Amino acid sequence: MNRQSYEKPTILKHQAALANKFGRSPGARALERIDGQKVTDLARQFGSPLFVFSEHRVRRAYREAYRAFSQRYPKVQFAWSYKTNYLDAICRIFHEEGSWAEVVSEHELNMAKRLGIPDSHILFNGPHKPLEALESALLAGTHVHVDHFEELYACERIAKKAGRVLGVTLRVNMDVGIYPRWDRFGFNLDNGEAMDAARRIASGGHLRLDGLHSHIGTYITDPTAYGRMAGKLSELALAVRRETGMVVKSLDVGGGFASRATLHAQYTPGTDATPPIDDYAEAISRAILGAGFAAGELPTLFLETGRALIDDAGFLITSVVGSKRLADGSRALIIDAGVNVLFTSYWYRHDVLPAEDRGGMLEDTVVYGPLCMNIDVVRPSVMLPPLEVGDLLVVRPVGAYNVTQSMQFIRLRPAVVLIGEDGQIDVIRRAEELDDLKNAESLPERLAAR
Amino acid sequence: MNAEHLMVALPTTPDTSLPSQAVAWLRRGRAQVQGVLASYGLVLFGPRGWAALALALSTFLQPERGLLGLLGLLSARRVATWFAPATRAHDLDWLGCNGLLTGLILALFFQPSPALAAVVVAAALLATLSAVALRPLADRYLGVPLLSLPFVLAGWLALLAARRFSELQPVVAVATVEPTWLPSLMIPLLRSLGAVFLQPTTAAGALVLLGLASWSRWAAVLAVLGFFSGWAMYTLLGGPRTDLEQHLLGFNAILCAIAMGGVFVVLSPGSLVLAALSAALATLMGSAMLSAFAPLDLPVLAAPFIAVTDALLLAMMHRLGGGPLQLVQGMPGRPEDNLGYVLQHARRYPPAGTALLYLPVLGRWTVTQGPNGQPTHQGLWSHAWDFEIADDGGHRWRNAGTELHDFYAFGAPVVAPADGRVARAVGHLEDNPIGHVDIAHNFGNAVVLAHAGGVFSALCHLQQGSLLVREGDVVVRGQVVGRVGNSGRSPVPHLHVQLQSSADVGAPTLPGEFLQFIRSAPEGRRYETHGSPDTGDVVEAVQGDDAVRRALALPPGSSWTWQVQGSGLPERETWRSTLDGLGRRQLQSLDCAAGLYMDDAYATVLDYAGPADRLLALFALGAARVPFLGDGSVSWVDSPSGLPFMSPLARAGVELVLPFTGSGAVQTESRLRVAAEGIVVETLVRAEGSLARRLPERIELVLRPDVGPVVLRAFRGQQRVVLAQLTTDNDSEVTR
Repeated sequence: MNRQSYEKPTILKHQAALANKFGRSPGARALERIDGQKVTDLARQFGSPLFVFSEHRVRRAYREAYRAFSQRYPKVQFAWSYKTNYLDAICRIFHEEGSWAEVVSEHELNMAKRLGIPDSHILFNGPHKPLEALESALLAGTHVHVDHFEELYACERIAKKAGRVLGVTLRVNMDVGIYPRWDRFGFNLDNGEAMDAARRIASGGHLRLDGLHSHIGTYITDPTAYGRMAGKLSELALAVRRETGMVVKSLDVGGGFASRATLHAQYTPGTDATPPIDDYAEAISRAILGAGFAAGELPTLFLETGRALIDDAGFLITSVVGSKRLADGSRALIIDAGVNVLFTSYWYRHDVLPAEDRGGMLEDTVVYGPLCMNIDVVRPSVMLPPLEVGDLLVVRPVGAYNVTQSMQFIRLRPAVVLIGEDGQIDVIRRAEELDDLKNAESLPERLAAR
Repeated sequence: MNAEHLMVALPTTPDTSLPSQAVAWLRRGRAQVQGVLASYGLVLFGPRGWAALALALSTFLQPERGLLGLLGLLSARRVATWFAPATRAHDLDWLGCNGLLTGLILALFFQPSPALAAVVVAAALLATLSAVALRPLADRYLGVPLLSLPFVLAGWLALLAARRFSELQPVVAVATVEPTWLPSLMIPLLRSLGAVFLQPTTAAGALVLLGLASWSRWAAVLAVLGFFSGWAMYTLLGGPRTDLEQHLLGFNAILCAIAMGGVFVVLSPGSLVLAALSAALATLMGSAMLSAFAPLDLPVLAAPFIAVTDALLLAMMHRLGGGPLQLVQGMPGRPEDNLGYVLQHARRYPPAGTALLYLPVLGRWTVTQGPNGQPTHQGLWSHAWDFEIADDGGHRWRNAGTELHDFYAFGAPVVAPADGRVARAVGHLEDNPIGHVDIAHNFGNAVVLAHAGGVFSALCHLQQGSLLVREGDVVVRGQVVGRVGNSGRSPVPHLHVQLQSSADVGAPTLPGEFLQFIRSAPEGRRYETHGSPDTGDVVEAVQGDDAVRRALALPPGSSWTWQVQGSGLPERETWRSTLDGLGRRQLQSLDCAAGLYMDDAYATVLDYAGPADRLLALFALGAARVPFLGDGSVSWVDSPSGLPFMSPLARAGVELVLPFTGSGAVQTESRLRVAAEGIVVETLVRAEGSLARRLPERIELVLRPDVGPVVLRAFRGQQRVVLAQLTTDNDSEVTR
């Protein structure tokens, strides 16, 4: 018989309800496995810290979103937002599922092309598109989303030079009751600027207005805001049709759907606060279907959802490197991954869970990252059991933005592994080495070692 | 449709230079000759070209008779342009055919003389006039072909009239000497075959048989079968053997057998029995007419054949059930081609007369109860479908599944499955809690739509208050009419769809099929142009892709010139897209053509006619069917006819067994991907026997929106055997 390890007697406050006003009580004391793979095994095999992605969760999230939209709207096309996570393997999964690519820079554009995505399946967004990139994209048939008049004029010049009529999409911003209003992107709808841009396209004769695009913000938990946006976008499309005769073939409602993560500022946990994707789909498709498009002129609905599709699929395995009592007596842990790889921790109240449940009383703990910077806090307050150096923690959800926004500040970036649907584990990005950082540099002769 | 016919149809460019005028003159002359030959061919339902020439030659074994026949033919064709309301090529050929027979019958009974020639011209005019008079009546009131009735009427009148004129000398019967080495039964057979052209000699009969067999093996078999069936009937009853040839009874049996065995009725084991029966019937009918006409001393001519054929056709048209025998729809052709068309059509396209709908839902749905499904799609209400949504894990609800809103299907839009008018709209009934049913209103809230053709579709168990249409509203396909609910006899939210013949909610169902959907199969997601999903099937509506549609628009008037590398193929081919008066689309190249069909959802190559070693033939296989969808994970299968791609010998062999084996298809499996070079349709070709060695294993067709096909590659294994690229010099012609 195994001797059970000694556990100090503790007194815990009894919680009767499932949740109190601070949300649900922690349901799980530990996360031992990710997609059936033991966290301890993963860390032993691939090191710590380690990003882990679950292919199953990626595909499930995509299919769920696609189901929600396609059962309500006849022409739906998702475009994977590269900036959210542009690891080749992740992009490839989305493309396999049927996603196009949504890129906001020429290097993202090239990433998509290297993955074999045809130009006609790429949406090119962003307020800054260098002229050469703009020209080659437009001529190749990429969906270019024009942000401002200077860009519109540049597109006209390109079309004129090529002697062809080229299709463009207008980025439009508007007030839908969401703050902050993202009115820095695109043409304003409410003051008539967007319609002016459409008129300009029609009268210029070099361009064709193929689509309208709006992106009202990020982490929007109010689906009705999307309904208002889709409705106003449809109205604009119909006004353009009436006034200029141009048929708008696509409406792009952007992204910004909330994931299941809980924000620091949120009162209820994200799992409760975030509406199901069906609610977004319902609001958007109802608005467009009810707008009065003629039969046969119903536009294709583009979605650039990023966060909501990938966040839950990403985990960060990290290990405890030290523990201490702060001056005020509260408990603190130092782990080997901080804001250098967890950009979202400024914003998210991540789940931080031990990889093994060894019992012990939960205690309010500050979790610090490894940086020698005061700002490197992963969780200012989280209930954790007693942990020792070398114990593993899992941080979730970390699928969105952390890989693309992580930096080589103080520490190099960790490896990323993907757990396949059949349980196979592949390294999709190895841990960085010094040369990865230093190869781009050159030391002037005069400073070179004597 | 064969190659000669196509040459006539090619558009001529207006060019006034002398050589080109000569070419134009030659071309017109050639068209005239082909028309004349077609008139000869029509006597036997349509041989053309060399086969028709053999038939024509049979009349020239006695040249003066042949000339008089030709005179009748040309007179009829000439006067047709004056009197006939329509002078379509085929009508002209038919009138010429009647004139030919009128000339031949007079030449059979009277000695050639200038006076006879005058009578021939007059009788041909008479035949044309009677054809012009009777054709609209027959078309309108009977719907059966007149066949050679104008000839019979003109022939009788001319024969009756001729007796009163001394200038016309009857032919003195001369006993013809027949070759003694022929088997005894062959002599009456051949003489009867010759009698089809009113030349009752074995030599003429041999030529007719040769012409007939070179056109269609089955027509020749049917001719022989018909003769012996008629002969057996006649001799069994003790009729005088000589009647069969002397009184032209045998040829009536032959014509009946060909007509009923494969020309008007689709060739099948059953049609062979029908052919034998109708031939026997024709000899009886002929005997009856012989007795009836005895006082007038008139020959029966083709009257027994016409009477029996049209009576049988009329009877078959008014059948209630289908039965094993199938009538040929549209313009009858060779028995083999008629059968091939029917087989191919049944394999590849929706059956005629079946009500066709689009899916009334968007996205991916599971059929939880299909036609004849348990427990409720039974008896009078058996042709119905229940649709629900399941997620990736197969669950139909989220959370606990105890609330209506937990069910994915609840509240999903329901769209009109076809254009129509709202005949009934019920929307006030309450949605049941999960697990409860309202058996007082079985169908719950429902929208019944009236569609063209007297078909109604019913969409049932809708959500209370969700209806967006009212009775009398006109709806277009895809318009949202309401939302999936849980009203009526519905324990969980689902959509019940059925077709019916009245506007009443809950009327008995009609069979039908859905158009344009994707079915999840073990081998992946499969696109189907039409079909009836069954219980457990997962189906989704096709999301149209405009770029693919534009890439396959192939607008009439456009042309594509190809530079071809590949063994055995011409180095250059120019395809022209044409549109005929009936709206049929075609791609024509050198000496071949591919029939096209396209609507807003898919394009298909209906058939291919011409040599196998043409680039267009590869296109016909590679683009056999292309749905306008941009989803690379969807595949589809097709089975175009393999006959056009076989060697003539192999084809003749396959055609001979076609009524019994019924295939002759090439299996294709295609999928589509969007790549940098354009939209690539990749088709795997699977054929059997010698065809497998002739056809490539894989065809890649690259298409560009607003341009059409730009590259065609064919592979055997990993080796590329054909590479064709659009030449740059005609880009401007295609690109708009």
